[in-house]
Amino acid sequence: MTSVSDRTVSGSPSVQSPSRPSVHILADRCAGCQECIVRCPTAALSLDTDQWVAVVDEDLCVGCGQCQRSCPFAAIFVEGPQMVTAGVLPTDLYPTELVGSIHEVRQGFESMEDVMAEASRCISCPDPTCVRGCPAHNDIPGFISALLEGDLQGAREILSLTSCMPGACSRVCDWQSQCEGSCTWSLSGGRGVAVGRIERFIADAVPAVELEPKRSTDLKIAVVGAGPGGIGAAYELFRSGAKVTVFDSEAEPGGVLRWGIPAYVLPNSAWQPTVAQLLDAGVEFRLASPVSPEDMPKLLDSFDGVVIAAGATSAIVPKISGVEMAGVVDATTFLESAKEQLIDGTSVTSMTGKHVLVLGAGNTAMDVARSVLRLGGVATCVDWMDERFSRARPDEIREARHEGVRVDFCTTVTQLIDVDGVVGRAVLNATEQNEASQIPKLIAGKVTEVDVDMVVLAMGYRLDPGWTRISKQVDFGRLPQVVGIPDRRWMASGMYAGSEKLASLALTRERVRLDSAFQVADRIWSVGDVRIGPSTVVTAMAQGMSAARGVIAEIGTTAGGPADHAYTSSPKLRTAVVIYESAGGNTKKAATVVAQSLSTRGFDARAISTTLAKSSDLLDADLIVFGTWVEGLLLAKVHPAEKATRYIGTLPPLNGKDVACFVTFGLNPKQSAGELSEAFARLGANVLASAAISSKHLISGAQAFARSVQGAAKQ
Amino acid sequence: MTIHQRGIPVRNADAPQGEHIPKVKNDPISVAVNLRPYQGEKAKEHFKTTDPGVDVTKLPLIGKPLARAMKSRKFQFFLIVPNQIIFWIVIISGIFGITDPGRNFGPAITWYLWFCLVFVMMVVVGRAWCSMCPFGGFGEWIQRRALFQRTQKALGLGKKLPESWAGHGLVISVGTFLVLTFIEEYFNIAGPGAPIATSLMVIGIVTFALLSFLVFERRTFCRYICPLSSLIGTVGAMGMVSGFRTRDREVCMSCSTKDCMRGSEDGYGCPWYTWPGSADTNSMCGLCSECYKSCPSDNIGLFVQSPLKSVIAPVRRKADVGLAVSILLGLVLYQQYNAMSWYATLDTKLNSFLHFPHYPDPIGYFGGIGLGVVVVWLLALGVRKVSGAFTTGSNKTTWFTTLCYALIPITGADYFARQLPKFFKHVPRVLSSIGQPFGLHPGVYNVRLLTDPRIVTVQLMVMGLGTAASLYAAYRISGRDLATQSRRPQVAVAASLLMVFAISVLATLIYLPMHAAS
Repeated sequence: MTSVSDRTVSGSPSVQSPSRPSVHILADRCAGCQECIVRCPTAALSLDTDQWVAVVDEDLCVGCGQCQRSCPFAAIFVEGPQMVTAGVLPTDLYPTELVGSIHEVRQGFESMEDVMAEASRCISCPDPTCVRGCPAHNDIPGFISALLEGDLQGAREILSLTSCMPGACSRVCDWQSQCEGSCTWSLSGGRGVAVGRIERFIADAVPAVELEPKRSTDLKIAVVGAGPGGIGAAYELFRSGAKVTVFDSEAEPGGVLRWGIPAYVLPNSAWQPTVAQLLDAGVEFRLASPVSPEDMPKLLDSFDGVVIAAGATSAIVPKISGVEMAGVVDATTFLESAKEQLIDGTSVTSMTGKHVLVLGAGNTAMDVARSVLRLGGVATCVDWMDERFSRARPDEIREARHEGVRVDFCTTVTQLIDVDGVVGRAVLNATEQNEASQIPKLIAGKVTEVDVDMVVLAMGYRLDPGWTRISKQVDFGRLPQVVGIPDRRWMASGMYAGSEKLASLALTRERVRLDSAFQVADRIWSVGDVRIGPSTVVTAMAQGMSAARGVIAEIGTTAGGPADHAYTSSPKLRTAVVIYESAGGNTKKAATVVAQSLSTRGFDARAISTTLAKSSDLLDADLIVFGTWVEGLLLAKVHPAEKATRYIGTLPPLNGKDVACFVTFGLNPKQSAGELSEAFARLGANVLASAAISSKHLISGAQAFARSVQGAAKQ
Repeated sequence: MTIHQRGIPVRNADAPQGEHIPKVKNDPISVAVNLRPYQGEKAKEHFKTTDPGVDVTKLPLIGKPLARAMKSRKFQFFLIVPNQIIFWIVIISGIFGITDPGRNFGPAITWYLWFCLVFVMMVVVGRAWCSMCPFGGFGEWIQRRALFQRTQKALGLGKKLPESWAGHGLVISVGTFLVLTFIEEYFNIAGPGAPIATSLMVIGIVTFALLSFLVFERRTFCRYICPLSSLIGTVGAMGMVSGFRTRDREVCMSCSTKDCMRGSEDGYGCPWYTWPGSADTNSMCGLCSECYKSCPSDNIGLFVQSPLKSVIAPVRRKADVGLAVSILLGLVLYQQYNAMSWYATLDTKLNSFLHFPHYPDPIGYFGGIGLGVVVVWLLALGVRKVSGAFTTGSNKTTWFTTLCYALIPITGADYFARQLPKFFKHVPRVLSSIGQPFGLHPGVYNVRLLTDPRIVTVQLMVMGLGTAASLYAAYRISGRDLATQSRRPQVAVAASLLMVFAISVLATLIYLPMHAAS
């Protein structure tokens, strides 16, 4: 363990460096909006109500810079050291004898004293950016506060609200691009609180908390896949009272947790308690029961809904000669057998003296190579990308190199050569890549040959096209945007000002998480890799839990059970949300009238602008009404406003949702109302009614429209 | 800060926790967010005096069309375009047109008409010119890479004005105004002199503005650097347009997104660093309507107020405004007395001493202005002394600043009166200059709207109005802000009135021997 000696972590203390942070407020520019004041973790800021400007008590300031990041007008600056202890960090363990070792390399805290010392660095930010950075949105200040009060059980219960496998997430998550990277200390240039390892300490101390359904329903849900996404969905569905059956093609549950991640990173004990708990609670696991996309109609006959969490399991095979020969295996096969061999301790020297060439230098490739070392072999990873653009975790590569793995970037294999019926030689060619977006190019003449005993394909996983068709797979990196402006609540938190890259990645994850609550087809939800391509454990789990909430919100009531779970209140009336895109005010007015009119007709209705409407508003609504204005050249080229069309383009699938839409117009709406209906029909919505409302008869038109919507909704 | 024995920074346990971000179902983030409460209850009292009454967008007939126009992204574009066209013609005309400044469109429209119009706009409206200014408009188009669209990536470095500069508010702008005026006097640009001088000055300003827009973010140039900002920001406070303000302050206070400050899909964050939720003067509202477009709660209106409200009402008086007013007053007084023969003699003497080529001598120029500031400062101290100011919470700067606010109307009137001779004597020449390139000579070149004694009469009337307005402002301001800080409240009011009256009368009387000199 490293110990604490120095209070400051931002730079080494010197004679000249100030001992305290100083805060400068530009009274000229400060508008007294109080964005900084409401977010100051230590209440060092307050408002001078005579001058209406922020004022600071520097004695209370800890120099976290939250105020500077959240000020919309750059009217406040913080200089000087961060007033936080250096804390305690577990050092990573590099076993001197790798062969046969399944010791976890990344260490957790050993004692309560150490974890408390680190946890005490958390200053409980009022707008905790770490929570936004966590893909599952664990209440980090919440569980740390409980821990600091010595309440491990309480801390674990807070974690269980948002995460069913904190033991696994805390080990395999890339903290630096998630919670720890978004910690206020980290955003202002210091070292973030070691949230991941604190979470791990809590999860290891209290492996599971009581799992009881809040109430029982008749809802029968099938979950396809027993990996992180499937377990997340099953856990949350069970908690919400559904009867859950989990299907998996493997003989044991766990998916990638079991076969894909080596024991020295993730021991089975870190996630198996969750599965055991589900089994004990009565969740049915139908193992060794592969479900194919063609089986979906059958499943839908027997179940009220299906959550697809089938994952990406087949390895990508490069198009090079010799790839089919003996001695070439895919990462899945290799990792699974390696993990078994290492855990049961038999044949751990099976690869002694063997040289394994791993194709790829991503996280999976590192897992393969480091497993090879533990089985006594020698491993070389080759990747045609330049290291600068690699998407592997830097610490993963660093650890692998430390252990003795050779990692060669800008190198690719062009041919595998047969020696005595098995792969014996590989032809390598140097490549160059100057930009991340560029496909690496072979450099002519720079060819070498190496002797190999085995080749493992670890270039990533491929999805079954049958599943991706059903799951409406989206490209995580290329989600459609309304306009490239992020959610202002996230901007207000100061996360964007701290690290735009980190914040936009987190916000994209959040959007996908929320979207996974929507049906991709009638009574079908999809999560994890099948939804967004190969991703991470925590993302899949969080999406699984989100999909479960979607299941309850969407079919929870129709299947007979009351819809209620962690964050919902039971609806009495049918809820309707009227979303409008208004420019001059007409559409807004019509939307308000429609909402009022629906409220008198048995709906709990409200009108909300496209800017403010969140996908949770859509999810909770039984009826969505959408209104926009029309644009065009008065009589020609008249269409729904482009902004509205773009907004619809960002919506999740709306299968099974009742939707009605209207346009407001001055002269002639042409086919706008129909175009709007078609746009929603394409999203899978059940379009009840559409109308064009003239601005001359705005109120009566809106009322008539509301009547027709109510009539259609009854049928 | 106390460090807990375990190293825990002690959270301020007494600080109350707020709830103004609702816990949204299905949103675990909102569950973890625990913002502190904002200070809202004192707002009503704080802004009571400065809140305007009438929201133009809610008026019958004009309200709706205006609201619709201002919601459009093209609103400001259409305000800027005509001026943009005129100013490029000014530049081209100055360089390539006839050398007689009175017949050249560039100098003619700039110095006979524009400068007067700007004054009328600032006194009646406030920052009306800023909303249509071609310099700022041009820089902003380039910075935003768009004429009117809402774009996301700005061109340029997007720097923030260094804190040490920004802290001085309008003072940088006063500095650039003094330098520009000196250059203008030295080269006799506004006389007007050679037309190309006007063009070069305009090109210089455009270039300087453009560079500033490329270095700094938003309208840093307009707020802090533009030579006219200090004049419009102070004299414009007399205007009757309050600018964009909140309709329901509670909505702004509890707003969790502050789109008007950060920008939304529909509008940019306030380019002027003004928050409609707490604006207490029209001084820093550039009337660009971005906040009006971006507010998600439709909670912003365009308000009008009674004249002088932004001079009299603000509770928060800013030292930079006070200093700016005194310098601007010093400058205009200098420009008045330098038209007299005794100053010409003094200027020549100073120049021969400094080996400076010709008028204006820098010592005389800056010294004269400085003298004005010192006189105002000393008078303010005198008022403070006789009033028996309390020693705590009422320092010299406070008195100086407060009294300078009362001098805003007379300063504005003085600038305007000084422009009048050019307007009355020469404004018909604008028509000649328009006709000139087309070979048209409307025969109005030597037509004068008014001549000497009558111009002086109008000047005296303007100054009379300015004096009355300043006295009214002094009465209100001293009664509220100074009397309460004095042992002899009535004396404070009387002395304030006397000081403002003395300065006003002095400025007014100089117009008599000036004989409508332009």
